[in-house]
Amino acid sequence: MQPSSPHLAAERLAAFDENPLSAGELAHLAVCAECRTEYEAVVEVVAMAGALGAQLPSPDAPRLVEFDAILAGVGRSEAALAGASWATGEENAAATRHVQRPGADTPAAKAPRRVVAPRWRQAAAALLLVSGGAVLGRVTSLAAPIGASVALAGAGSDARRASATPVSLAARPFADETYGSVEQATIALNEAQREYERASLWLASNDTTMRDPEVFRARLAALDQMMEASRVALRDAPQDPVLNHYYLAAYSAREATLQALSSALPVDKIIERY
Amino acid sequence: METDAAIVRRAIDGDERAMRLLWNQHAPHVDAVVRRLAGDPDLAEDIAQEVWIQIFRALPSWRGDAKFSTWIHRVAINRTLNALRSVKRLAATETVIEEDSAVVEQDAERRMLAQSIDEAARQLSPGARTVFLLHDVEGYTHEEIAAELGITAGGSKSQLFKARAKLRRLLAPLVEQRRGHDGAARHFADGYGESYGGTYAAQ
Repeated sequence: MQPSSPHLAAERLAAFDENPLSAGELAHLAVCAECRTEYEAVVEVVAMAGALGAQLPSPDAPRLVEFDAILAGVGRSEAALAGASWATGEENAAATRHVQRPGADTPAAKAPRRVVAPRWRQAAAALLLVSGGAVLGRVTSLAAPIGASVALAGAGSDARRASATPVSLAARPFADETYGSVEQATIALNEAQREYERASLWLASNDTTMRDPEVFRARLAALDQMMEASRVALRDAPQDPVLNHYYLAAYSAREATLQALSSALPVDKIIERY
Repeated sequence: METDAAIVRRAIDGDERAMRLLWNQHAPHVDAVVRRLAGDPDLAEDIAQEVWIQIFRALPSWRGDAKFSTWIHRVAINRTLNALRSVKRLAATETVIEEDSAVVEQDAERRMLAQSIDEAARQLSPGARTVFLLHDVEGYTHEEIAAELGITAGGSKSQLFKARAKLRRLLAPLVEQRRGHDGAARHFADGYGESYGGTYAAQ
């Protein structure tokens, strides 16, 4: 018996499980060997794909990444989140032995926790907001160098004053601050990070310029460049807390910006590229 | 034997041995997911570390209501997709699949099912490959895919059907071989007949 209607399209047959064939299509399939072969073949492909998903991977397959590299990456994240408290050689060594933040022996620290707290990420995003803003020329009136944000971090208790008088902060030389110890610098850094967090929350609710997708796109492009530069620097100094801090802050800011860009676009738009 | 929950708890607390244990147990599976979704071996190596870091970071979100292997599989897929997005490999999600008449070469080594499908899937556009792998290999629904990739469920279906049609062409030799060897065609014909009132099975 010869088919009385045109052959079924390949994509139509490929939709066999989503859009059941109509009576007419079934009738055609019944008499058309060519379409029947196509149908059986596409069903076979789908079955093979399903089998692939159920297939257990070979335990002998070479690993994509070694555990030590993962551990170092996790350690970098933790180091930055702990306010660069692994700055000493001894603590760096401890970081590679045991990925645990200082004070993790306390009962509170032993409780399950988010390794990356959202509030820290917001703080990190705020850090990049300052440095990214310098890149984008959004704070050009201050003539601030890109290192201003780091100077802010190092300013410690001066940070609050600095936020009220940004011009003096911008004029502060990058390496002008001195600290008596690593601990003192760490305390200053943590204090500054809390200040970033407050600024970030304030900006989130008060900065109306942030609704412009072009601003987000420009920032994303700048953040990509900053991440790439940090990545290159980290190849030479993978344990450097400042470089790690920059990298993680840029990464967090990029994620936050992508989310903000999504919310700024019309509901029928999706981000495919920027 | 220590339970998954106990190992995860120790890993969350920063116990390196527990983390290594989790990695030893699940790396083959996670690596397979990353390799498959990345499509490119170099790219897979590039993003694997980030995926694992994200998995360790996400450990506290495992509530124990699903098997840990199921959870880590899901997280691995999600983080791999995120990583792929960040390297802009999914930019052309809705693009039309380019036509080509290439057929996957068959030789003794490439007759392995997984390798053949992976190889053929690499010839799809990034978006179509991802939709195909998520739906037909990983078992995601179109709604889940849409949410994951930021596309519509209809777009996901469209990509899937195009991907399947192209894969059918690319995998033609393998399909013929399998049908000839194990009678799979009969199996599916029977299944089809059951689903549609026996119309086809009666032929």
